[in-house]
Amino acid sequence: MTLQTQHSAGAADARVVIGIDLGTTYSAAAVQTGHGPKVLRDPDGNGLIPSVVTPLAGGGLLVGREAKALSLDLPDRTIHSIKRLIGRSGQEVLDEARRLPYPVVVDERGLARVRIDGRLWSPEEISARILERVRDQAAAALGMPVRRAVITVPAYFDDAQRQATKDAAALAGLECLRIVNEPTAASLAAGIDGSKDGNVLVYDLGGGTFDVSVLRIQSGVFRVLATAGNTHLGGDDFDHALAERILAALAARQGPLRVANAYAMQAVRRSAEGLKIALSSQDSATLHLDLGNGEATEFTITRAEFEAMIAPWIDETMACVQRAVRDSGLAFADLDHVVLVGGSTRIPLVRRRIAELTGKTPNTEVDPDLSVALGAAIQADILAGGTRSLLLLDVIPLSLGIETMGGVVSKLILRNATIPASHTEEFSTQVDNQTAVAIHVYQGERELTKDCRKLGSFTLRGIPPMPAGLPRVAVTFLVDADGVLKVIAKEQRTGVEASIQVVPSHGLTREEVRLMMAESIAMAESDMAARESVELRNKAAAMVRGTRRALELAGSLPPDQVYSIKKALRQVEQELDAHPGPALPLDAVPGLREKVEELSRRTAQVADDVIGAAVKRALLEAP
Amino acid sequence: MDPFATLELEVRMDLDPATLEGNYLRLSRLSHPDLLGSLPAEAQIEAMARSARLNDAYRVLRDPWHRARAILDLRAPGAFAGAKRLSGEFLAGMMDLAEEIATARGDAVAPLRARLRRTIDGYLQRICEQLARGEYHAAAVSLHESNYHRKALHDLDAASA
Repeated sequence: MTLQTQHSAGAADARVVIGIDLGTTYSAAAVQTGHGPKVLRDPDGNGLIPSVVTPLAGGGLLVGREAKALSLDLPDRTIHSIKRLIGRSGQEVLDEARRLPYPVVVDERGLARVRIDGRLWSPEEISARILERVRDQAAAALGMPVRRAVITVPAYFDDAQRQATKDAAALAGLECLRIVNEPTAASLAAGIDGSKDGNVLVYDLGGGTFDVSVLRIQSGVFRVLATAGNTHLGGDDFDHALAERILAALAARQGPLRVANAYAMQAVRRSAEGLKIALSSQDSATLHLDLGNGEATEFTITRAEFEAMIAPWIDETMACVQRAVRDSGLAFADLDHVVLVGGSTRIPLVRRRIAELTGKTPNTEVDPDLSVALGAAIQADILAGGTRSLLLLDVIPLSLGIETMGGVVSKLILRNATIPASHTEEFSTQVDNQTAVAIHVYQGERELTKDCRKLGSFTLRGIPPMPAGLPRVAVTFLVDADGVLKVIAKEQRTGVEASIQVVPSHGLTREEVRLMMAESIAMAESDMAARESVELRNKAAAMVRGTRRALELAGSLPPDQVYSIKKALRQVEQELDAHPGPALPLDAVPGLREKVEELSRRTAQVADDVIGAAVKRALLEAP
Repeated sequence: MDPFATLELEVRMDLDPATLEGNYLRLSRLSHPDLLGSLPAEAQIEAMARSARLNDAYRVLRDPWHRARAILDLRAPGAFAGAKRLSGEFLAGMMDLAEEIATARGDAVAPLRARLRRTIDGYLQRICEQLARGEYHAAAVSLHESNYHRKALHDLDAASA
């Protein structure tokens, strides 16, 4: 009887599929309900989880809001914007990495890794920690465990970036039912319910990536006609440019500044983000800095100046819009709706330019920060067998091909081909009795291999020994509904199935994923509770230090807020003092966790107030 | 693979676009793996392959040039490959055209583009008629020739972009 009950509860859990927007700066989850999709929020009502992970010195991690709240205190171990590194080689991200406050290194396979306290973190592992946090928040909101999800990626993500995202899900113990493109998901949530036919353009400018997709909706089928974008263009770039402008202006006024440390850069970067947001609703914004000794200075920027600064990036997005519309075979006049997605579409210049170009007033009904997660939840419900009236047909963003003689790429599947897509190509041998053929797979639009991105190589083995040119090996390249390439080979004359081992150029090998998963399972089994208590103690100690520093810096907080923070702080300190030493008695864990959570809630509110003060301090601090 | 059979359509050049799109969407709903999540893994792989065939058939039939080639391959397998050698006269004309495109500047570009478009439209019209009359070798030659002109138009657009 009991067993049966447990079984049926398990079956119900297994049916839940959530939609996850794994963003550059923020992530969110949603689930389909009887009244439409709903964002899964924490008890304080927050839907957005900062995509930030901080490995602590003594072990343990801060993830999400806690990590962001302490980012000023721990700039060189606060890992943000990891999505910019996932699925890419170290060489490709060198420029990017110079702007990040945490150390990025290149491992022996040429892949980008984050190094903290001598440990190398793959972007997949960092993303996995974010996904775990998103899943846990979702499970708490739903009141049941979550094991399956649909995860969104930028439409312009290539094969390696998609595969890396799937690997991150596996490392987080999530079954990823589908990788869905962000603009496609957003179109599902944009109040266009599929009951009306029409053509839609989705312009998605987020923290780190830009996508544009043109869709045709007909009888409930959302079909992507074309997509274009840039996986390294977003609000982060605007923040960075604005931060440089602030530093230059202050340096010109105050003389050489001592701001080269990671702490100061982080503070300036976050105040830049604040100015950018203010400029969406004001004509000018000012950063006030009290320099002490009765001296003060300020930095003012007008909206016009900001717009001039970001115009080159906006121009690039408009060129992508034109290309996507041209590739779709439609004219601007054929578009029925224009949908804006991503926080950066709150910038008035973006709205103005897209309206001018398309001749349509953009649809802004759905929160641009949440529409991707909401749409992912709808797709999750389709896959779970709930919604049967809708169907998404997406495309591959970049052409796929193989290297032929002379470093030329022979394209097998063209960009904007509807997925799943397959192409079968016959290969033969060059010399007598050759039993293996090496094949190199590339993705990109250019003619030569050196201008395209190598996805990986594989070797066809087990070809029966025959005179050159006689074996006929049929290789089928299948791009599945996730936009991920699978390769299947068969020797035609003998029917021998050639074995294939793909070595990815930019991601984890299957063996590495297997090892990491085995490791995390082993860790889970090796006295999970003891490990948790050490982690919690480290986390609490880090929060106490960070909060003390924040209080020092924040001069002008309302007294009642200072009081409530100090009260929460004291309670954590008392718990820590009561149990010195690295490990915490197991019975003390729930009490401390509760007090840490309370402190975390209190400090999250203050974090932003501290930034202005932090910049001031940074300017005065000696190197 | 017969894209017409895949999309349950008659083999003909003048397909009704609404019927083509309607069949494609209806059949996709029946085959797409997203809507068949409850099936066993084997059946899902089969559904994936069927969806890929539908997508490819629609890609082919939507474009009149690919459609013409598909009809030719169905009606006269090997005819296209057999008509690969074009006359010296035609090739000489193409070399002159390439020269004209390479040197076209300013005001000369627009009339040249209009002329190429007219030629290409003329080819498509002729191919339709040749296929309808069952003149498959002639249709294959026209297809090969039209490819040169379409490539020329592409080069002109690329050069003036």
